[in-house]
Amino acid sequence: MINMILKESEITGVMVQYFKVCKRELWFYINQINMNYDNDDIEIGKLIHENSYKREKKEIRLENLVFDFVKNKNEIEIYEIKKSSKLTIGGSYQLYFYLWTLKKSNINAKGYLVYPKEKKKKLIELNNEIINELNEITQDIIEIAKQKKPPKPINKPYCKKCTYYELCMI
Amino acid sequence: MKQPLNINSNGILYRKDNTLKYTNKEVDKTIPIHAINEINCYGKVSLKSGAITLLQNEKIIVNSFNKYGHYQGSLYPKITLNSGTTIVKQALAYNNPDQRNYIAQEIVQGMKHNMRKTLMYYSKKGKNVTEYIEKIEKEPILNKNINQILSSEGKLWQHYYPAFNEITKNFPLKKREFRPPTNEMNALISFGNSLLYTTTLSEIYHTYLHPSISFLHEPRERRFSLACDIADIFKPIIVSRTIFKLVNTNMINKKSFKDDVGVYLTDKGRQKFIEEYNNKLKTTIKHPNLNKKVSYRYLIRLEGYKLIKHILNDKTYESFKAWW
Ligand code: SF4
Repeated sequence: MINMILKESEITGVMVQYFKVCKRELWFYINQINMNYDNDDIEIGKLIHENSYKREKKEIRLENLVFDFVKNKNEIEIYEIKKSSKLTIGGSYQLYFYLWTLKKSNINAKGYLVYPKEKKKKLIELNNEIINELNEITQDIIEIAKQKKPPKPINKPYCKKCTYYELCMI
Repeated sequence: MKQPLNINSNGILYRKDNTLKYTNKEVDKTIPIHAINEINCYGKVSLKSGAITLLQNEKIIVNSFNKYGHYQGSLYPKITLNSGTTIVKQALAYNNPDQRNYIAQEIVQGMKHNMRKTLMYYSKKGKNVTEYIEKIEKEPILNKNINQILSSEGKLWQHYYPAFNEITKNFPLKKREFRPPTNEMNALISFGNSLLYTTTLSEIYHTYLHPSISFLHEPRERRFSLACDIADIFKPIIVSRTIFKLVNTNMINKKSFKDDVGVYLTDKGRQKFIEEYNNKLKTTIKHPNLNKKVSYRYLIRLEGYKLIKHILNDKTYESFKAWW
């Protein structure tokens, strides 16, 4: 039987977000069963000029994420624009993940979750606890990728808004 | 909701900037590409390469039929919903006799149930079809191997179609036959089945299933055989019901047919059929699992989802069996 082998370098922010929200959604996503047909991938590599960060060779893919960033001398700020402050667990972890990924390439960055409608902005900073958690999450994601069948549905209110709703409930 | 576009005349589809246009001696019009989900051509329609590219990008399937309403083929956009895991597992399920037989017999179970349901509906309306219902009920679905399953399927249709002569006296079926149909009822069934095949094909396009890997029918058949598999489940409740509605309310009558090398619907007759068929597809019913209303058309998509869940080992496939 086939077995999906996911390399650590292939883990994306969206996967981390799905991990926090629903492992089944994550499994579908890793197995390329994506009900969000229209989301094009954005490559951060294109956005961060290669010249500015010569050491940065790794390509970081940012899918499914509305974001903007500002460069400040030797620090960059990443803004993630969210529609509402509800349902942000996954979203803030996505941002943690980008900060952590940049940090591993020795780029210090600050993250902000921005809610334009509510005129709110929330600073997201890495700390050791979060870094440990991200380490665990990446290992867990690799394990979930290896599973031969999708984890069971979670059956939470979130399901109603999830693009996999029909696939899960039928 | 997106709608199928039907072209009944002869003409050319071409691209001008980013819009799709249709032209012939009488018209030159823009087609609202974002409002359509498929194009069905019943006349001789040529496609310019620009139009093909545009249709491919917009993921719109173009189906063509000849004047008898026989399906000729489809321009199928390139498969963009691509999940390696799903396709590999779909192929593995096909190749494993236990798995394949399970899915194939489940398809036939669904078909049998829906044949029975359809006849029950007319029985309640006073049609004398009890004899046929009993024959269908008694017919076992043998499932030791795929040939047994296929032969059970064939027998079920043989019990089912003669009941048509009881449901409508207008167009005796006599014997179910294929190309070219020699009587009206055969022409209606063939046309309805072609429509359902193309609808199923569009719905499969929106899943991750490969349309050529099938379970009941052999994948080497000329058509996208998975669409044949899934369409079989829905023929009684979508095609048969549409036909009886059209015939018993006189929307389609003797004048709706032409006869040359076979019997087929006139342009008007065909348009009536398509209209009623599309009404059927749009009809909604409350789905017990999803707890919301879904259209008949969407039920076909859901069948695809259930097959995906089965081949991913997530949930055992149970075919659609009309519950109302
Ligand atoms: S519908 Fe619920 S269980 Fe299914 S993937 Fe979405 S969140 Fe997870």
